[in-house]
Amino acid sequence: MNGNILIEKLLVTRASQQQYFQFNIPRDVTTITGILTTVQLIDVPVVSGTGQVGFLQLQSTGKANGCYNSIVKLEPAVALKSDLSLKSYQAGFTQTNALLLNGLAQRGITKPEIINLSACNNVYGNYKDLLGKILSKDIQYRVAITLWTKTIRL
Amino acid sequence: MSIIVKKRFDVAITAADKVYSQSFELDKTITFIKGILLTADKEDLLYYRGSQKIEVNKQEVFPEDYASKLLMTGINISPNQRYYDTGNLPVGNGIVKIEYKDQNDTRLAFEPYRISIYLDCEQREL
Repeated sequence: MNGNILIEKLLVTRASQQQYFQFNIPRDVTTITGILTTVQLIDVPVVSGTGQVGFLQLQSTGKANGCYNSIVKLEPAVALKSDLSLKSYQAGFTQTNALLLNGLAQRGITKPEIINLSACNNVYGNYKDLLGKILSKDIQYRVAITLWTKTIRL
Repeated sequence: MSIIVKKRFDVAITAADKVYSQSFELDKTITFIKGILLTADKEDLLYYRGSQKIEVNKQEVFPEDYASKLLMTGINISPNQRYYDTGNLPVGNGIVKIEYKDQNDTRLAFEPYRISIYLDCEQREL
């Protein structure tokens, strides 16, 4: 593989909690090419609604405008609840079965969001909880922020 | 001449909130790993609860806490596109190590499950 994967994991325990962190970017990294956030719920009631979990801000050092803002969202528990009455979903299956209603089996490729950030020493991050604020209670969950990078081939 | 072979290794996950470390040895004739895929007999448990570190020949390919869902695939994907493309990853002494971490998630209660790691390998023809 011509690149590294960098991961920062945050533990959120209080409503509206704000956390600051940083990625130390290895010296052989030439560009940061992708980003993806994942959420693991530790102590949270079943969440409905918009699925918003928090607000993420990243800022790279060394250059202006090297920033990234995004709302971190929860993936739905079941991505595809029904076949939407479209028979084409059942092509190839002799009987209706659980596989057709299984969002995990039906999902496509998971790809990171593509970004193009030039080499830097650090990426500073700020994460603010929204889920606890919306539910008006302290809740526990983990957020993992994954960065994909390209490196010089030595 | 070389041929493409697929290898499968299993890890049994028997208790919640634990790390399972296992090493697997590849055949000496395998020269490169070209792709990696992760699946389970209960995919939803792997999706919501799993993360892992994978090393090939002591070289870290996926760091600790890399979410398992990023190495899974759905049936809507063509079989030729299902593996995570690692490029030509030299196998060296042929040891693949996985450190799988199961972590509690309120969306899904724990029950024992089995994860499978599939490797898309290039093998030297004898």
